[in-house]
Parts: sequence; C-alpha cells; structure tokens
Amino acid sequence: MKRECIEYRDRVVELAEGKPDADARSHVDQCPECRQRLDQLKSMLSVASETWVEAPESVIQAAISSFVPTPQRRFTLLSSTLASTGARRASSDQFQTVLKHEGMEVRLSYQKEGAGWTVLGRSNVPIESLDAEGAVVTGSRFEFRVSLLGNAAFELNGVLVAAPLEDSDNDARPGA
Amino acid sequence: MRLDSDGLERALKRCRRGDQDAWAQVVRHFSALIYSICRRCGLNADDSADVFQTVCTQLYRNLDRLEKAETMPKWMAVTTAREAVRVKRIGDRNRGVSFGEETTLEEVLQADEEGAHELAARAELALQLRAGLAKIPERCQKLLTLLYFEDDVAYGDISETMGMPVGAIGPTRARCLEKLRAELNRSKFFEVHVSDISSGDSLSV
Repeated sequence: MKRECIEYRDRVVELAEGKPDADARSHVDQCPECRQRLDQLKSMLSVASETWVEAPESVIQAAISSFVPTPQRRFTLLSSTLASTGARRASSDQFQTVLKHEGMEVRLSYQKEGAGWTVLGRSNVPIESLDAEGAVVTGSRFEFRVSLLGNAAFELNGVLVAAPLEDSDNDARPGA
Repeated sequence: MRLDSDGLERALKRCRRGDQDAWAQVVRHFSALIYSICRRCGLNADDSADVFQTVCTQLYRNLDRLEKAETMPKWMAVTTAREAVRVKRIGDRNRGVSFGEETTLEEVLQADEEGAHELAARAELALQLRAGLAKIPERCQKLLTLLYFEDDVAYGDISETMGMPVGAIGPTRARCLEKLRAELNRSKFFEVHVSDISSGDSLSV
C-alpha cells in the first residue's frame, strides 16, 4: 500500500460506511487500489446488514429428530493387495480387492489402462442387478470402465461397492 | 455450528452412512441460512418452520446426490428460497393479494423465480461473509460483530464490552475489516458482486 493510501485507510472505511468526505472521495477516484478497496468494503458492509436469524431450537430439533438417515447397504472390504503388500503409492496401476456383504462376496481387479481404469469383477452369487455405467455382465463376471478411480462406485444386487478412493474405511487407496 | 468445507464434506459422507450426529451437524450448519431466507421473504414463524422442515426433507432425500461440499450452500439457498417464495405466494393468494389482472401466470412464475434467485444469492453471500468472519482473530470478530452485524450498538457500549478506549475503535475496526477483506478475497467472495445481485442479475443453479 502506498504511503498516501495508508493515510486514507481509515477514511476509506468511513466512506464505505456512508460518511461524506470530499477529500477522501477525490483520492479514491484517482487511485484504482483504494477504489477497489472501497467497493469491496461496501459489499462487505451491505451483506453484513442482511437479515440473519438463527432458527429457534425447537425448529432445528424437529428437523434433526424427524429424519434418521438409514444406513446404506454396502460391501465391506475383506482384503486388498495394496493393503497387504503395503504398495500404497501413486504409481500403483493394478490392484485387487475382496469385499463382502452378508452371503455375497465380490472380487475386484482394478487395472489402469490408458487414461482410465478397467474394473473386472466376479461375484459368488448370481448377478441380479448391476448399477455401473457401461457394464458388461457375463455370468457371474462383469467389467466396466471409468475415467477416474473415484468414479468407480457401483451397486451390485442393490448393495453399494464404494470407489476405492472415496471410502475412508477402505485401505485400497492408491496414491494415499 | 460452523463447519468448514472439509468438515461439511465429511459430515455429508457420514450422513450417507446413517450417522445421525452428522445429520444434526449439517442441519445446524445451514439452520441460520434457511431461517434467514424465510424471514427475509416475509414468512411468519409458523410458515418459516414449515419451510425449514420441507428443505431438510429435500436435503435428506438428496444426500446421495450432494457429494461436493462447495455446491451445498447454493443448493440449500436456492431450494429454500424457492420454497419460501412458493409458500409466500400461497399465503398472499389466501389473503387476496394479487399481482393485478393483467399479469399472466408466466410473469408471476418468472417474478417468483427471480425473487428466489436474488434471495438465495444474498443469503449465500451472508453465509460466506460469516464463514470469513469466523476465520479472523476472535477480538476482531467481536468488534466487527458489534459494529456491523448487530443493530445500533453505541460506541460507549462497544468500548466497555471490548475494554478499548472509544478513540481506538476506529483504527482497530479498519485493521479488522482489512483482515476480513483479505479472508474474503481468498474465498472469492468478491467474485459475485452484490450490486449485480440487487439489479436482478441472478445466479444460475
């Protein structure tokens, strides 16, 4: 900040508060830096005066207690080649995981190919539904491609298989 | 209860896993935003409570779709504003208030949508301003709150509350405003101009 601007610092605040000051106004008109500062201060003070009311506690409590989020059914990780070998590194371009939910078990292989990843899977139970874009199902095996590993979440028979990078409980985190 | 962007994202993730404490955190994080929009729209306490519940229901139903914390304030603000404007319109109609005989339904709906967008945009900025305020030193937060976020607190009272001579309030508040301005520049607060919003240049959702 220039020395002249420092001298006007407090007066620019007063201008933003709406106090008339012809001398400070004249400086601001000639100084782009102070002009921007004045505009920003005016924006701040304008928004600060917006109605801002905390909701009554009874309203908040009603919203909290009315909805108990239902846990989503999801597979849990049994093992991962990344976790067992300790090969958690950014360059990992192939790894396998085994996940389980009740009587279902799914084995997944993630392979980096070109700019994306190919996910190959095998289920120990018949595949009734598979919610993964572009998936090809052959018997108990399936395959699909994703551009990012983070997009690899899918549902198998209505149960969520989290993407390796999204699941904090999941050790299959290449690059973690 | 304030959550930063990372905290909100973690809370949303825990909500999707069925954690009710996380759900409470998310509701509390947005409670003032929702309620302020309702009151600014002119709704009474009962209608505001109804809108609050409706918005939370919609949030609950969309938990799986709302993955990015940074999109949440806009989603919450727009969802609330649309619902608040809708409830206000029904209340006005029941009281016999109308736009006038020559106004078409399309014009009414367009006006509602523009009103909702302006309400939402300003509330989103207010939330962002308060998030910025929470990041500056506590003493500055306290001084700026007394000066600008509360109604007409006298300098004498501020001096007493802050334990600061009246003559020091002016220069101190300039330094505190500068800290807040720097914080808001970091959070891109000024990229949405308040004047644009006021003139009806509404944000897209």
